[in-house]
Amino acid sequence: MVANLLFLLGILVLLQYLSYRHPHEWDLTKNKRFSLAELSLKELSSLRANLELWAFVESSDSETRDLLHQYEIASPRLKVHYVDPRSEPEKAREFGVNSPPPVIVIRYGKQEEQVTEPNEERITNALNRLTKGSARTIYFLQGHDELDFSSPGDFGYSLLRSELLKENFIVKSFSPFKGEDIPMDTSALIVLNPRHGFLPKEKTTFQKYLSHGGRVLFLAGMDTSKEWIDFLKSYGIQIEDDLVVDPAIRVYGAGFGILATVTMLPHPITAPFSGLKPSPILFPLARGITLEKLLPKGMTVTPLVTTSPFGEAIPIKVEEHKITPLSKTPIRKGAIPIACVTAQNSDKEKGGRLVVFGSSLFADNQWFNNQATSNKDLVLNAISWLAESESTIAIHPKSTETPAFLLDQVSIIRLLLLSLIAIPGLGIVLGIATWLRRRHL
Amino acid sequence: MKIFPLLNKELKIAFSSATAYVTFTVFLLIVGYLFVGQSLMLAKESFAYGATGTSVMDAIFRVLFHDAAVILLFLTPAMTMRLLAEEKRAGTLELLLTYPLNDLEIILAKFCSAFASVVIFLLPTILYSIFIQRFAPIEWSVLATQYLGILLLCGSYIAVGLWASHLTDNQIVAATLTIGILLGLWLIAWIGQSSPLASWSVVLGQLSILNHFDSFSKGVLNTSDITFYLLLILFFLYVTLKGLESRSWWGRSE
Repeated sequence: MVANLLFLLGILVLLQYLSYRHPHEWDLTKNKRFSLAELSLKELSSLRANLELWAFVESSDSETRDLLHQYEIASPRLKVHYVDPRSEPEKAREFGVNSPPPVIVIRYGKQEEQVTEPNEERITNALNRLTKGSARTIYFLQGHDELDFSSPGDFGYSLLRSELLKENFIVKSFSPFKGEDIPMDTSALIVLNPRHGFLPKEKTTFQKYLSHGGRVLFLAGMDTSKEWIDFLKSYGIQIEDDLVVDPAIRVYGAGFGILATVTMLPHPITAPFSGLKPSPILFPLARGITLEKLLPKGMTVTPLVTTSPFGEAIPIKVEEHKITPLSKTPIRKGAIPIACVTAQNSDKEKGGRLVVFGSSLFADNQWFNNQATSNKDLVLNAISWLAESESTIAIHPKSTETPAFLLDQVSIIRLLLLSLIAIPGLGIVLGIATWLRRRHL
Repeated sequence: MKIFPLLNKELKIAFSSATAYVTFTVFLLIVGYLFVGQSLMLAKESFAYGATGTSVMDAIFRVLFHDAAVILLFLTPAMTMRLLAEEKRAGTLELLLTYPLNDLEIILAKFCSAFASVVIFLLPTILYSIFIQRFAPIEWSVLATQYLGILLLCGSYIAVGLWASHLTDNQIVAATLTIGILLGLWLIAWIGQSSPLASWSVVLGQLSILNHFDSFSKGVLNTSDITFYLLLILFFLYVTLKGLESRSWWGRSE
């Protein structure tokens, strides 16, 4: 009997051990808030060699352990070793861990990186750095009265900049005044609404850069210099002097000039949105784009984002900082492109890529981190595609979008009545009813 | 199914005693009080800071289900203590064993009757989610996972309680033993946390009955947690069955 019991216990422990070692998980929350983000999963799926995570965490730190467990489940190539730094200080010394726990040391081949205060973002970025080798460099163009990429104000782009840093890019600025070429290490060049033109010498620099496989993200604004507009035209992109609105889709509370788009056309940049119902992308003061039909050989232009089929373009006049509609009658109707991509095949191995958005404000600090929109995802996906690191393209994790939970006086009284009187009263009523019934039997 | 008449009889006995109604009312009163507390806390935070970004499923229901799991740890033994101990005390166990049911069916009927009682206890709590839905969206899939988790957890409590109840003819001893074992299975994780060896803390954490409930409370289904509860139920039902089968042992004890 005892032997039988021990045998059964042994079998059950073995079964549970196997179940623990090979678990399957289904996150049934609406926004998958207890799963690793798509970005992390992609990173793990691209692992080509085994990776070891040495976790210097306290036994009571279940949050870090749960997170690391998610990584373990997601990739068979990843192994986590737990070390309690208080009980095994010699191990901490061996790995050079001096910070207080939790600290993760990631070993990939002979390379090693330490992550202090680990969270999913930091761990995945460290994996990215280790597995992808050297970091890529993003340059912001300067010297043509561009919008300020480092300003923390509403109209600055410091949030975009810090997000790029988090995603393992090196961020620098570049001014080609002295006629020097665009740096060799440029992964992508970002041009934020230049309001001044360029010197003829600079034009040649940009043309040379693009024809030799350069990557440019251009955000146009209402007051972008005409020289730049003409420059883009030579790449098949005509930015019109109009304001695009979409009377069919108006977001409640958004002004007339804020366009909400829903139509994303198939492209690697928009691919992560397919199959999902993403939050809207809001383009404040967007200019319409016309795609040129006659293009130089080897060049293709494709629209990326358009309005709904009911979009309208209203002619406008921009004087200093004032925008005046010239007429109430739209000059164009239909699905008007707001963003497009030009790809150029050159003799070199890599073809040039140019992504143009008709609104520069959609990625500024005011809109970049807006939880209700997907602006951040779209602009980061575009930069990732340009820098040709498509494995970093993903929907970026979002916190739960929950409306404020407000209760008025009447609701609080109802809450108290329901929870403390009505529901527990059910037990008392049923008990008395049973007692009375039994008394009459 | 042959077990239904016995199951029906067990439920009738359970709900004809004051114990069931007192336990039912006390459970709903405590859970109701905690529900009000969590709801008012979230409403206060929302009023002060606007949308806090926390879902009601996390801020109210996750906490509530954790609390309910602990309350049920103490209340379930009150439901299971009677199951076999009372039969032994009244001398009806031998009579029961002569029913046209085999020992497994008797155990299953007893287990299912206690399980049905727990389901009846939990049913009114669905009204909380219907109330909350007027103010914030409810993630029904998460709620279903939380209910599944608490039912599996209570299934384990009942299996332990049933086993303890077959050991003695004293209901108080059976209830105390059940609470002792369940508390041990809960607090074992705390011992693990203070263990100097990281591997031991993982092993002891895996043995903890409430640790496995955490993923359910978040709205995450994990096969390892489901198998833990199922295997625990299976083990205690099996040892109870073996205990019942050794009738000679019963004879000696009486």
